[in-house]
Amino acid sequence: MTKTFLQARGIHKSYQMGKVPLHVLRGVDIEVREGEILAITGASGCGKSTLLHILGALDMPDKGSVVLEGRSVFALKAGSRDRLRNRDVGFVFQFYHLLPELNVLENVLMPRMVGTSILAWRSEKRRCRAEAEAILETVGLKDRMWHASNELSGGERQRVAIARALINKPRFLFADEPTGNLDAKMGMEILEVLRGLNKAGQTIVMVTHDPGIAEAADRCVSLVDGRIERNS
Amino acid sequence: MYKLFLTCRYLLRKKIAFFAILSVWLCVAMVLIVFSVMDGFLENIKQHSRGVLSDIVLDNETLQGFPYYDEFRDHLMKAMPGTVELVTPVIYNYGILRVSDTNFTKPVRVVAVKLDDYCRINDFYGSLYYEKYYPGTTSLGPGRLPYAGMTADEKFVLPEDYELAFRKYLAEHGPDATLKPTTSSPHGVGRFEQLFGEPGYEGSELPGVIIGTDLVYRRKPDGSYDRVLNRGCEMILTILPLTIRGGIGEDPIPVALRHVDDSRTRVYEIDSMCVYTDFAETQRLLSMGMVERTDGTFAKPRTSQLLVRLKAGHDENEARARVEDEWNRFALQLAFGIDAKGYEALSDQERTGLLMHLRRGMAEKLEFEEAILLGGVAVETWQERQRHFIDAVEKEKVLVTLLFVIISVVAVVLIGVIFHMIVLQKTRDIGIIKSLGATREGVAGVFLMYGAAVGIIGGILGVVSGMIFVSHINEIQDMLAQLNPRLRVWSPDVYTFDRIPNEVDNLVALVVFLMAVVTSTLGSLVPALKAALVWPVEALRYE
Repeated sequence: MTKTFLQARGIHKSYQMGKVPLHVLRGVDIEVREGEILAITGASGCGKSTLLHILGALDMPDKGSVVLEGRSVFALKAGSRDRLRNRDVGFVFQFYHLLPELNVLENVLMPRMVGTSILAWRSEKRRCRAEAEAILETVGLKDRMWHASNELSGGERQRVAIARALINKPRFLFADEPTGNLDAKMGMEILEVLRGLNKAGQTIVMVTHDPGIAEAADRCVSLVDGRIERNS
Repeated sequence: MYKLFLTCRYLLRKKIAFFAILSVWLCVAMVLIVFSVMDGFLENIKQHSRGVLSDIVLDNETLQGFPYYDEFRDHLMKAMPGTVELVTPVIYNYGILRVSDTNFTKPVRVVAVKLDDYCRINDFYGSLYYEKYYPGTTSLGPGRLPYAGMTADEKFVLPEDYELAFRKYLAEHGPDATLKPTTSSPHGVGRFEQLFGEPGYEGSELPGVIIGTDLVYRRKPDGSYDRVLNRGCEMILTILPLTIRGGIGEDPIPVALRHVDDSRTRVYEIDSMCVYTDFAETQRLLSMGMVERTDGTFAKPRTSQLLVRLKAGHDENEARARVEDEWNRFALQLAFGIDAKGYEALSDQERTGLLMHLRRGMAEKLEFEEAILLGGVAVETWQERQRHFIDAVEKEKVLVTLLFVIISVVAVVLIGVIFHMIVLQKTRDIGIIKSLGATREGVAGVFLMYGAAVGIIGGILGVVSGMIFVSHINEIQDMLAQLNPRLRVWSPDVYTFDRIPNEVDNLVALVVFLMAVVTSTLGSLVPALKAALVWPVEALRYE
């Protein structure tokens, strides 16, 4: 049986909309297993992205816990949680979120820079750069690595975002609507990239409202009104 | 690593960073320029006040002056031989100066000095113009008008003592490129009568007078003066002798004098008002010498001031207290016959009471008028003497500093606003960096380093440009004045000195620079902390 990597229990999350609280997640239980592609689906506004952000420690639940290999993520000190984000989690966003002042290579190297001191960087720079180039080759962008991010197409930007998410070899790759902002052809290309990574052993959790994309997942959970409706 | 990397990248790629640097740059330069000029102005006042006075001044603030100054000088030299180096009297009065054969007249302040002592007691010697080029030729004693001769090969020659003096100057200073022989000026300095033949002297022997440079000459934009008067020309000084009670004793006395030198202390107030005459001669003319009274006795000679120069290394304030004590001792002995033992036996209250009596003219052993004049003598250091002026500038400096503190606060707010804008603009970037694992401290560090970098770059640019501006401030003003005379903002008759102070104190520059760095870092602190505390997803959602 595949090992459970990540487990979330009783996740509640609400936002304050003026004076009225908006309950987005109402006691979600979910687990992620090693090496699988887990798709979280649901209608717009059902809380998919919020759940993904909580699983990836980018946001804090009002109630509930997320346990990663026995460590309760939100019980960790801020510094440890930051290290977890840097080393164990890779995030791919729907709108890519590349740093506009940086070129492709620098964007990919950024997570490595975040986790490395100035002194260590001097000795590791060459190795890091070689690794970044290798990843960029994997996603088919090695020849564009000196380009500014705004010189790339949407699909290319998303591939840069995937490369950036992978540079620190994370346990989990979280992808929030990775094809949502792309045309069908580009979307399929990104899906192929993700499948290839999964075949190489990468655990992937992705949020999508596209049934076609969800079909490519090993497992799929549906969120309706802030609760898990279907777990298949 | 990413902190330094992102800081550098934001600095290079963000236009707004240049505005922040520009504002720090301008603020630093502005504070440095104003502070340097004000500080230089104050220092100039202090230096020049010291330069035209002496360490300690005794004065009773009357035109009649006070008697027994020679006796007190001897007393002081005996009482404080290790402290006092020199004591010299100076008479101040007013008169009207007329240049003979012209219609030039001007009210002047007459300063009667013993020139040798006066030159030793303060920096007056350095202010003399002709004495610089012809050392030893300036004297307030009787003298005639020197004129130049011309050799067979048409070279100007001065009287022998002037030629020797000029050779002495050349031997000490080497050839002076600024001294260009002209037909009207044999050595490029002064104007002498030109006659073919042997050089010599002419005219009657007259006492000398040194005139303040700005009194007669007009300063040219390049800082030099067009010396339209011949050295040695005749001048008429009309003075009004006063009785010991301050009344007008005689008709105004016109005195013929010979112009022997120009003095430029660089204090416009002095250079545009003062003429310097011989002490003994002026004292006699003003009836301040030993005058026979109606009863056949003789009144003691009087002086307006006694200047005291201290030996090196003595504290002026301590010495002033001692000189004052000696003056009180001397005055009480003169007035009431109290000897040294009796003075020591007096309590402070008793001494004050006796001095009060003296001030009211009630002294057993002195004439009423003499007692009043002696009782009014105050002993002050040169700083106390000029305190109304120094205090005013000190207050002005505090006021200007206060204004610049307010401006600096505005600059801090401005920088704070700029950083707030930068942080707002970079909110999504902050979310991205945090989602990649950056710590709170790391994100705050990026913006604090950014702020510090803006402060360092703006501060260096401000200090360097401020220093360059201050050191060339007079040239800049001259250039502006050439474009339009109304642009000359530093007028010597308003600001006392003819040139704008143009030195920057390195310590002040360092303090201003450090303040710029601290201010910029503080300006970025609040937005940086704000940026650090948000959850990644909140920052990513920012529109």
